[in-house]
Amino acid sequence: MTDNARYTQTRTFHGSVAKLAASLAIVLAACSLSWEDWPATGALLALALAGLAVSGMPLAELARRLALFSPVVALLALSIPLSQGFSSGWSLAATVASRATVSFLAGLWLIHVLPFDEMLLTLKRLRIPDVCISTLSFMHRNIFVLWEETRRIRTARKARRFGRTDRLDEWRAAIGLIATLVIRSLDRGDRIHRAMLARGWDGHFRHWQKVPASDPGPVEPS
Amino acid sequence: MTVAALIDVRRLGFRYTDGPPALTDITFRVEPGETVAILGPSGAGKSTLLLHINGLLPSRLPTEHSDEATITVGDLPLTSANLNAVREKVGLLFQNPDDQLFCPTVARDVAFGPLNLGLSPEMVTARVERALAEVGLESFADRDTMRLSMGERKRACLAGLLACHPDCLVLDEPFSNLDPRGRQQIASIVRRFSGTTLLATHDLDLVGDLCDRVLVLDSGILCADGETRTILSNQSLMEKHGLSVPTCRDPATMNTEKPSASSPNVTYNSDSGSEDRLPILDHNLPDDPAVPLSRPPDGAPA
Repeated sequence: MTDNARYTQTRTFHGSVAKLAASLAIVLAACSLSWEDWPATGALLALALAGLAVSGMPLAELARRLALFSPVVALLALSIPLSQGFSSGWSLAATVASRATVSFLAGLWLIHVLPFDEMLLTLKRLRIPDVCISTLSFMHRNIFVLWEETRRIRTARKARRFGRTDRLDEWRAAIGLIATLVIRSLDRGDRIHRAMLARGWDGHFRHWQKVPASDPGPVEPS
Repeated sequence: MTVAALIDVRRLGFRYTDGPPALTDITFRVEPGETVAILGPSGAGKSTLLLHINGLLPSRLPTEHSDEATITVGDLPLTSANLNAVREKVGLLFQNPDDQLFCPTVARDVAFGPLNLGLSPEMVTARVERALAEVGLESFADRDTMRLSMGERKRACLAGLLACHPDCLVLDEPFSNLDPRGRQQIASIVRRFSGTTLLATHDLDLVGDLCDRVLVLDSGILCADGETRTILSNQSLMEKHGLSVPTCRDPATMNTEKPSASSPNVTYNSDSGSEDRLPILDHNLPDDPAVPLSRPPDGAPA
């Protein structure tokens, strides 16, 4: 590897570590604060939002992601007063909601500024165990495969519903869809494992980065 | 002196848990350089047989000292001790490319096998670039594996196998779900591969073009093993096993010789009496189709 390539790689690594560390620091700080420390929580929230603005994330995209995330947090937060009593539960609910929101925004910023592949490489160089990295890698890839499968199943169902919509029926169908997806995912996991074994997988995640053309040419072992 | 078969399967039987026998007493040989098709109706046991050749079934393989070894690849009996060496020789293409493409980008997926072979990053890069060029996907190296068409996915999977320099390609339904152009692109790669090829398919027209020999498998039993022309023109045999005689060509006039690498054209519709030679419609394929896809001799540059 040339000095230039090595320098670029080191610089990229340091940049990635800084991004990971910044995101983790915001999450840890948010999780150490309660609702009573709202000025500090607000500052962290502003910091995460500023980071997102600087990274160039479109406002519509941010709103869409928050719209998907908010109902989950709202449900989670609302379950606390229901289980702990309305007198003491609200404060804890607000704490959970604020921590989750700040952490979510910090995570969103991280995936926006650090490509997933680079994040995995950085984690590997930080000596995170292989099993965690390969799990993250497959999860990332298979989320999209499963999403495509979900879309296909939903389209197939829609095609045979002939325009009739019944809320109860939709809920039932959603439960069936989840069950189908779980079974198909298990099956797919098995087939992917076989495909990996067929290409020499021995349980170790090996990372590769394309070697620049200026590097010495390849020499096969004799 | 007899030349050792590349794949030698003897008295292979297999049953999935709580199921009927998937394979019963399968015996056949594939000679080096042969292209052999496995035909049969769905559920005949074709995929199960191919998984066995790569040592992916059964889950517990025989040991070196037992007499159960039923599959030999090259000079290696398929045992738990030889498993990795056998997998280096045999490149298995899965039926669904989504099962095989599990890395974020095409290049990384192609690099998966060479990395597991323990090659240096420089050698991996060279193999990845060459394999992608061989399948006409040079410009797709950094493409997300999810953003590929079915034909591109299949070719990316093939590049992943070619990058490992296998002696033998074992292909499970390589032409399924492809349009005619996609099928021809895959066929062109198979045609130019100079090693041994064993493929399970329902595409009888391409079997006629590509294969020297045909095995017919039905209900886990090997029902026929013979020259492509002989098998495909036997209407009663074909119909008995849920197959049909190829429609767009006369099996009797089928070219059973593997076309030379310098002649990538494929003849269609010979019934018409004209010599309609259609060129491969792929701008991405390498300019020089005369270069066979092969495992370089030991010590040669990648």
